[in-house]
Amino acid sequence: MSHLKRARSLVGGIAAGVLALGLAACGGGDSDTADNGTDGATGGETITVGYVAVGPEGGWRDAHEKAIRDAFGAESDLELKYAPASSPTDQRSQLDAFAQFVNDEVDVILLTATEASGWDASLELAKEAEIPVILLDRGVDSSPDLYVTRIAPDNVNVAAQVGEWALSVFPDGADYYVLEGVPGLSVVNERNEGFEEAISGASGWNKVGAQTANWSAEEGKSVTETVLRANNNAIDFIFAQNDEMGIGAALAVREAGLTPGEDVKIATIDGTTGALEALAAGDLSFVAQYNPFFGDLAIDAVRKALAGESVDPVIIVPGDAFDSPEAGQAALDNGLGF
Amino acid sequence: MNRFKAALRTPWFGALLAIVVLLAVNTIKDPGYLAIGTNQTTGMMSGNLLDILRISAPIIMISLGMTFVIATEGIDLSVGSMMAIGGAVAMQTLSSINQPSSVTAMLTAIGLALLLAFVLGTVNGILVAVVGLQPFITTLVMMMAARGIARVITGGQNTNARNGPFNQLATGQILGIPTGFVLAIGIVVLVALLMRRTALGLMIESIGINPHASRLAGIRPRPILIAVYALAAVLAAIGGLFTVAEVMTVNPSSTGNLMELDAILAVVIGGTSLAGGKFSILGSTAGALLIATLNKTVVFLGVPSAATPAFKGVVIIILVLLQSDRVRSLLKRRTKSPTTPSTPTAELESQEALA
Repeated sequence: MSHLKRARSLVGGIAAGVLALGLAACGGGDSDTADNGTDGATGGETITVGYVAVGPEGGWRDAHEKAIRDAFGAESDLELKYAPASSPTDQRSQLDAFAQFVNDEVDVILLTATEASGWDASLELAKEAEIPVILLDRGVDSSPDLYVTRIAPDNVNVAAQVGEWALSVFPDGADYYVLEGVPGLSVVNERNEGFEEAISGASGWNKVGAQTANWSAEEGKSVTETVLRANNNAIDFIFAQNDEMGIGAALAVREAGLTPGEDVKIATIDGTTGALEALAAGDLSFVAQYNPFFGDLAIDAVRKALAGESVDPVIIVPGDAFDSPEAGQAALDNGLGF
Repeated sequence: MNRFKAALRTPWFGALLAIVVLLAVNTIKDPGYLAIGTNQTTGMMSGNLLDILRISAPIIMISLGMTFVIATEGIDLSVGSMMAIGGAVAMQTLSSINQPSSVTAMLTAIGLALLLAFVLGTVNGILVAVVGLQPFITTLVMMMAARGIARVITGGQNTNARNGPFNQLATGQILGIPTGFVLAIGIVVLVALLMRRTALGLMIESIGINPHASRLAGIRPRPILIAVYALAAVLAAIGGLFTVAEVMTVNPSSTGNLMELDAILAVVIGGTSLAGGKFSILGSTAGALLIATLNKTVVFLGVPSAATPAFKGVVIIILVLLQSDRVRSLLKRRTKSPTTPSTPTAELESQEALA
């Protein structure tokens, strides 16, 4: 029995080591702003904020969490305690971190849940301890009474921006094709809904079809290539639900002997560095930003919640939209890519 | 006639037949489907068939490697992640060298990518052959680890690079045929010669049938198993190179994602038994071509996204059913009994198959 236990702890140790290595590698670029907020405090009490986060998951998540940490680090009276999950799908470690923050009696808890369900008990605990909870990005399916507000960009709104832009560029309508993400995700449905609502009612809009390209550039290219062939290049507009599929579509348009931006206009959502570069180069025509930078909104909500002021139960993060090569270049120069 | 009958019985015949049927369906939808012409603007040959050949290159590579692993009664779930490794190393190398037209840069990138894949594949092989872990578990762990390594290599970001020669690997043409496909077939022929002109193929099959017996017969399974897993990883990395060369960008999370399933399907469609002991290189290649055709057909016919997996599943299950001896003999009896009284031998055969 004992050697079994030893083997187990050895495996656990190795796993933890590997994880730590992974985290260190992924978070290498971040300055360590989490723990030194107290140094600059000038008079008054320091507000401690516990941040139950997801941790390194991908470009958007990394940019978002860095933005939050940087924003709180810049405020001298706020101290942010950053607690990423041990993996992007590990709810257990998030629940533990949450309980720890309640025990430590932090002033506010910020939460980005890995999963929507299973938070009732934790949130009630925080409510009993009179610690306000603010949700960032992802929602939970608990009662809205248990948290102050949810701050997040809204997929329906972002996709509607694409639709409105398309209406202005194609006043007489267009033959369009939609490159969708992985089927069944709520993001995919919301982005479809926002776009279709925006163009509904306008005449001349003909949806040639829609197909999943699984968020990936190579599949976006492959699908677009075949769609152009099947329709003798009679596609005016492609709505790609993320940047990568749009970048792939632009390559397919070029290889079909057409010019992206003239023969076929491509609009994407997200606003990654790659997409802004493609926009600056003229391959993409429109990029709607799914805005990860909302540290200021979070700080605002924290201060209001502590002061007892009323906070809207849902705060939608407004996103930029870039519609020209110059706008793309400017966004790159301002460091808006991620 | 006998030769034709023999060809009819081979499992890859079903795959070829399915490809023909799919192409026919597409041609019914659009009579110009099979046409191949020259694109006025780019000066390249273009057509649906060439597209299929081009996107089949990575699938051919991963299924070729998977074929030998399965023939040893193993499985390699890490090929999709190996594609990500190949793509990540190549893109990272090219973007740090940053010489858009340098052939040396391309060769360096390819060399490093294949080297890392070889090392990881060897680790797989050692864990299976020397330590004796289950291939399923070993490669499942490697699947996660390799994707993690791909993320570390690229810093978790999508990485793009510019390099003309490397891009040509996927998008170029040799005498009108996509370069990627030509290279893939070249590699298939080389590997097939290695397997069938030497005793290596036979040894792999014997290990798949009974490792202990083959050991007693003087075959050392360990080096062969290690080589098989290393080969699978290297071939998968080549597949990853073809994939990223298409778009010159790698997404460490999505490149090669779930491709191990395509590879296993291609191998099974091609008639290699999951129980090990025999393999068909031609079959796996035909299976890979079928999967590429299927992927393109779904888009060409405009099958809705939500129904796409079901459509693919139905096509594949029909094909596998047609290959099963039991269903074949049932069909044979149905079609034969009303016209000709079955001969005793035929009856015996079908009874045997049913038993």
